[in-house]
Amino acid sequence: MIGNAKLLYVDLSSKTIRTEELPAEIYRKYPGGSALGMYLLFHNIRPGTDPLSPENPLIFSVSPLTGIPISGQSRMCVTTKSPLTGTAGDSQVGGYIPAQLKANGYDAVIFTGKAETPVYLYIDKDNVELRDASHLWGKITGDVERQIEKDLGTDKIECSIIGPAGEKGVLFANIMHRRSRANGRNGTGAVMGSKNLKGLVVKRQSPVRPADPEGVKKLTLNVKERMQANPTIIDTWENGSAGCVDAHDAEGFLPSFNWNSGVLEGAEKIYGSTMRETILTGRETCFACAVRCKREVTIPGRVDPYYGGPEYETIATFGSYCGCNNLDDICEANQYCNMYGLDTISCGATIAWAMDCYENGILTKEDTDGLELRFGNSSIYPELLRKIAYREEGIGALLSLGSARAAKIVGKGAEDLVVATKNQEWPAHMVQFKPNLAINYAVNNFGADHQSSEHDPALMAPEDDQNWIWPNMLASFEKCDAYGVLDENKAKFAYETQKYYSMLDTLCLCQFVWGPAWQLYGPQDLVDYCKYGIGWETSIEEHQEIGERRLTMMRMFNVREGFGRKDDTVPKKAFLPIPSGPNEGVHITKEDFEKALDAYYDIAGWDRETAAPKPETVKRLGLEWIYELD
Amino acid sequence: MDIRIRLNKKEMAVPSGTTVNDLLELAGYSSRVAVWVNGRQLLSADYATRVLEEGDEVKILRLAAGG
Repeated sequence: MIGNAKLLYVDLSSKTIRTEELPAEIYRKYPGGSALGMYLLFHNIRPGTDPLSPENPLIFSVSPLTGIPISGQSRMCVTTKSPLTGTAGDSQVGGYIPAQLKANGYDAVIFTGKAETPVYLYIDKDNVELRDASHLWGKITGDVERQIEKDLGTDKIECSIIGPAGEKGVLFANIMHRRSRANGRNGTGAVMGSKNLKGLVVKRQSPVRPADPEGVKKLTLNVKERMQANPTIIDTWENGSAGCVDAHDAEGFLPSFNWNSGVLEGAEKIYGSTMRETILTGRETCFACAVRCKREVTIPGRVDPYYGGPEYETIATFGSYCGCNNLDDICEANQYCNMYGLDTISCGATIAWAMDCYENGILTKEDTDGLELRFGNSSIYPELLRKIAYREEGIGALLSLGSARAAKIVGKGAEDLVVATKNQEWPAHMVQFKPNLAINYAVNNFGADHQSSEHDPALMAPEDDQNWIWPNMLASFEKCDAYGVLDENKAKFAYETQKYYSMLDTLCLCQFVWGPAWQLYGPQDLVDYCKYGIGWETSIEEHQEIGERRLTMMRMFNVREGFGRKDDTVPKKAFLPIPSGPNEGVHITKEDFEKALDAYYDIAGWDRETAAPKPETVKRLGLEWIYELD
Repeated sequence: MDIRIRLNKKEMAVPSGTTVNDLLELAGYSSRVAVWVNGRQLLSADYATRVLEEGDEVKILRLAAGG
């Protein structure tokens, strides 16, 4: 069952720390992660708050399921108002700190105010203290972790920290854990920096025990067989998320040259399989996870495995987006991002946008501090990333704002080259290939995100394949047998699977492990896990409602901040036909997009004109209390 | 003896007796695909036994998800 949540409030201005219990009946409606974060955000922020002011809370949360030894349960959500998007801010991290925050007895940590001088929070069960971080300020992530271990005299800790980018207020600064895991998107690191908060550090404790260990074993003992029977999971183990480079390139849907193309010549040089065969020196994992999707790469003298290895998104944004097929340069860029604490998606995509501007004469050498920002010139990454991370005057300060804000400053047609929604750069899945993502990139409450709905190929799967069977446990969908199809069926698929992913981000479960299609465990497995793990008798229907409630809360937050249908948009490049390659000509139309968007609002119970949840939707989900807040 | 089929709208010759699984291997696909023959989608359980015939129109789409 779901008990009370234990909340840790830390007011950085007054240096006061207190705990509070959230009653179980409330916690069951908002059971951890992003939903709990949103519940707490609403209760600790006023409308119109400046995201980088002390009045913006920064909330770390886990779930009742976190820390139970099974694959894909060690995730932690950060919720705040995003400085990048201006919307509800939301980002997830894996690794070990989620399980350990829970093992210390806390479901959420809520930071408010601003410290006078740099600090970090140290948690060892009931001993919680703010410690001086003046000597850590300005340092890169790896050095900070080593210094904290030295200061505390132990390496039995887990840290979530910011690098220089967060301190300087880069709008896509992230929060790093173990140098290669990130609360990556939405600029949560900038919020942390604005509070003079360098890190959250927890002492390692004994793991959480499940309510029914024998029951959990039913899900864990056959994990090897489960993996062997699932080619996508095996590929995820073998090649990491980088296996997507191979698959997307094979179809000519690898976003290239700032989304002008789906084809990059020599793309095989940056394949996940190429990385595996050449520079991969380790497969890392998160607490108790068998999938081991994390990479460690080594390039002597350049890239240290201490900083991990690139994900698919990183290879795409610093690779194909920028017309670069040099894997070593991409890995080095990944390392610098992890050292400085930069989101690799927004960062690489913003550089790609700048290159597009440069190629079109919108930016010149005078604007770039002399850097030759041509597509394919990856030699500039180290210098440019330093300029961005430290917001050095000139091109660094400009790009530190992200592509959408920078384009408004540059003008001269630069805005037409931006590929972002709600100021957040698009992840590397082409909407011509996966049209439901056009809807989800547009409507997603914290800006474009690829991990907020299932992807379209599931609707093409054979009827005896789990890719087809599992999503149809959520709702009934129609088959799709072609790329470029965007219709009501896709809108329904977008919303129903978005609810599921929303629930996963609430229960803090990994979307590579606990998914509704290709993943290791499916919807019924999750119901079983809830029962065996914590004695929670639940259902797929309740899970879907939890996801829907969180989506609706986020939308209500955004509506209160002035967002509406006008912001649920896709950039012009979304409608470009694929210009070459095996799927030349595939495209989606603006007309189909608008119709599907209407259908999405109808299914969600949101108003077509304002894109706000209708009163009956709000009532059905028990969210009327939000109307009564300021 | 070879037979001629069309794979994703392009003509190709394959040995007589080629199954869908054989074709996937020949054309460099993994097993994570959806296959239609003459407009009808196959179950994945049929990939090993469905023998292709002269003039078959085959469509293969990759099931590339995740990321």
